[in-house]
Amino acid sequence: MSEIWERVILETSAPPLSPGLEQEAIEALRRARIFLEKAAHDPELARARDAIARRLRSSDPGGSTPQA
Amino acid sequence: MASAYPDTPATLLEKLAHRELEAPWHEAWQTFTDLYLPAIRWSVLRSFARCNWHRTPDHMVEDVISDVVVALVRGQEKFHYNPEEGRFRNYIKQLVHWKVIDRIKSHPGRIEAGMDGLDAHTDESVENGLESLARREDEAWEASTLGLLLEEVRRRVSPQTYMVFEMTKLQNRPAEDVMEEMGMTRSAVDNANHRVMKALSRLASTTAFKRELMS
Repeated sequence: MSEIWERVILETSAPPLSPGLEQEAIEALRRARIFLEKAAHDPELARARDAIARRLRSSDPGGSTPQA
Repeated sequence: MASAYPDTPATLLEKLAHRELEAPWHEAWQTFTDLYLPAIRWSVLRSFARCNWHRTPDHMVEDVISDVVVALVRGQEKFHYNPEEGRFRNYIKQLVHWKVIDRIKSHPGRIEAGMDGLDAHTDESVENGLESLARREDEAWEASTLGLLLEEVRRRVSPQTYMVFEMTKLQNRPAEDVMEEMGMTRSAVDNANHRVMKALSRLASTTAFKRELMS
C-alpha cells in the first residue's frame, strides 16, 4: 500500500492526480476504513480499552479520565 | 475549527500527556484509541510470537496493550518519540517489544509457556505464522495512518464537501444519488471531490505524513 502513497506524494507537486492513481488511493482509503470499522466492533479491543481506562482512573482519581 | 497544523502521531501524544486539558485530552484519547489500538494489538501479537509465545492468553495481550498505552499517556517512558528519528510505528513496535519482554520475564511459568509454544508448532508453521502476523501488523499500521489522514482532511473541508466525498468515493455510491440527496449539480459534486483529493494529497505530502506513508 505504501507504494500507492509514495506515488501520490510524488504526483502532488503537479496536481491533479492521474485518474488511475486517484482510484488506487481511494481503494486504499476504503480498505483502511473497513479495517478500522471492524476493529471498532472488536470485543477484545473493547476490553483492552476498558482495562486502560480502569488503570488510568485508578492512578489518577481526580484527573481527567476516559470513560470505559 | 481545524488547527493550522495537522494532528500527527506526535501531536496526539503531546495532547495525551496533558490530562488537565479535559476537552482536547478526551478528543485525543478517542482518536488515538480508535486509530492505534488495533495496530498496537497486532504489534503485541507479533512481538509475543517473535519470543516463541505462539498461544499467548488474551489477558496477557490485553495487559501489554494496556502497559504500552498507559505508559504513553502518563509520559513515563524515558524513551520518548522523536519524529525526527523515525516512524511512529517503529517507536511503538520497540516499546511494545520491551513491554512484552517485561511481561514474559514476570510470568511465573515463562519457560514452560515458551516451550509449549515451540512444541506445538513446526518450524514451517512458525515461519508462516510470523509472516502472516507481519502482514496483518503492516495492514493495521497503514490503516492507522490513513485513518488519521482522513480525519484531518475531514476537519479541513466543509461538512458538506466531506459528505460528498464520503458518499461518492468511500461508499462508492452513484454520483446521481449523491446529487439528488445533497441537492447539488454534477459539477458541484465533482468540485467537492476534487477539493478533498487535493487536501488529501497535500496532507500526505507534509513531512509528518510522508514519513509514515513512505516505506
